[in-house]
Amino acid sequence: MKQVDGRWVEVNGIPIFDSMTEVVQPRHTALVIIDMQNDFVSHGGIADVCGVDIEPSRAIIPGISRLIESARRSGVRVIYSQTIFEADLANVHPAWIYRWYRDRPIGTNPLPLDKTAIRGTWGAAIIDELQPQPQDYIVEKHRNSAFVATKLERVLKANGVESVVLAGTTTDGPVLSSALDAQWYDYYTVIAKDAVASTLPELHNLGIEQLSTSYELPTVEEMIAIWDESPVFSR
Amino acid sequence: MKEAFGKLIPDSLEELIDPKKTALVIVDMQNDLCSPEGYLAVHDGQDVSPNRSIIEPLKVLIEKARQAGLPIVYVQYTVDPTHRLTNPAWVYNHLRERPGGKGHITLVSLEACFEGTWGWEVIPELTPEPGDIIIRKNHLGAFWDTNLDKILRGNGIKGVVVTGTATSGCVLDTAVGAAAHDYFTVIVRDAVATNDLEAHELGLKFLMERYDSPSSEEVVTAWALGS
Repeated sequence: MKQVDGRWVEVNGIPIFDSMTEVVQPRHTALVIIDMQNDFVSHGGIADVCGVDIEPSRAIIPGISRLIESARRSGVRVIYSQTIFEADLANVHPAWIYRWYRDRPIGTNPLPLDKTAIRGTWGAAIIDELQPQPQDYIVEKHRNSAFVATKLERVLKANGVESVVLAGTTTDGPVLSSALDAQWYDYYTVIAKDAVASTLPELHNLGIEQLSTSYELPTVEEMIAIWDESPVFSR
Repeated sequence: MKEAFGKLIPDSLEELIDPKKTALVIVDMQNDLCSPEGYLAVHDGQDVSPNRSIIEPLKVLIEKARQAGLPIVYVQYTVDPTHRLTNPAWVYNHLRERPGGKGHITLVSLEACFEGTWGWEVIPELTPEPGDIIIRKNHLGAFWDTNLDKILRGNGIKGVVVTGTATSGCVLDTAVGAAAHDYFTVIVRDAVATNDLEAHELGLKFLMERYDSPSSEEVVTAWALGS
């Protein structure tokens, strides 16, 4: 390990990135959009139908849209995670069911598990505003983290990705769980601060506070500025 | 138990932490992190009394867990002195000062908890007994790159009761990891600690939102009823 002027610069002979600009260079970066699905975000989706306030999640759509456009322009790999439950809940564990329905101090979940993000339904689809393009990659997931029992890690590794930028919902749930796993897989991990949301502001703030203990949280505009000024990587 | 979607779901704390299917997990109660002569106290100048404040509840939990027949899992943060396990991204994510960054940046992940040293050992007040499960982990979460899941499954364990330090770090990551591995996950709210009290409050609030977080007294009572 090597240190210069109090900053760590090298581990095992490998240089450590020294700035956000280096961290998110298009050739080695993936933008991972978490769970922007109709059931969680759209009018008429199950969250909306159950009286959950979807406006905080809708408010991040334009920012994520700009982030995705900038990523595609500059050659950042764009990946979507999509939570999918089977209609008969064959891929749902009793411990998941227990947690889903348990009373919580802040945000008890009113969504019926057997009507949420069910395979093949409109509710499980990625929202129209952020439709994936053919060159994007969609990772089906069945737990909170986009890394748990999914192909995400293999895809990142296969594409030479060293850094992941996370956006989507929810800040304190799948985004945070995915961020933890991204770190354990040794990816440089950043979260686009104004491109993540939870249903309740209190939960969002809790997630942001916890994330800010070990992650950098640039804004959408900061990310776009870096990508727009970086050499374009052709995939 | 009650049935939901054709599956059996616990209907009470007694069922949730049933001694026959639950393990007590004690995270990182090691000299370097908890002793006044350990790394955090001596090198970082941290007041370790918050971490020490959970020793008494832990003693009771461990004693009652043994009586009720639960496996006891001791997790030890284990740093490789050659740093071959240290990744550049880890150093960037964890050891970089940044504007608005929170939490205490400590070099404990580079300079302490070397296997076999006194600082790495579990504090003498909570010394493991023969037959306890010892997990050496190199990351924050006890499920990451360890055989904990394999051992729990081999012993018919479906749920974990998580205790120890630090609430917003290794405890939180162990709890999230347990849930990711489909364990019923419970935090004992007076048996987790972080020396940084603000970080502790934040971590506990997060954990209580995501997992049942009974007091040690409630846990002990439930075990007595369930065994």
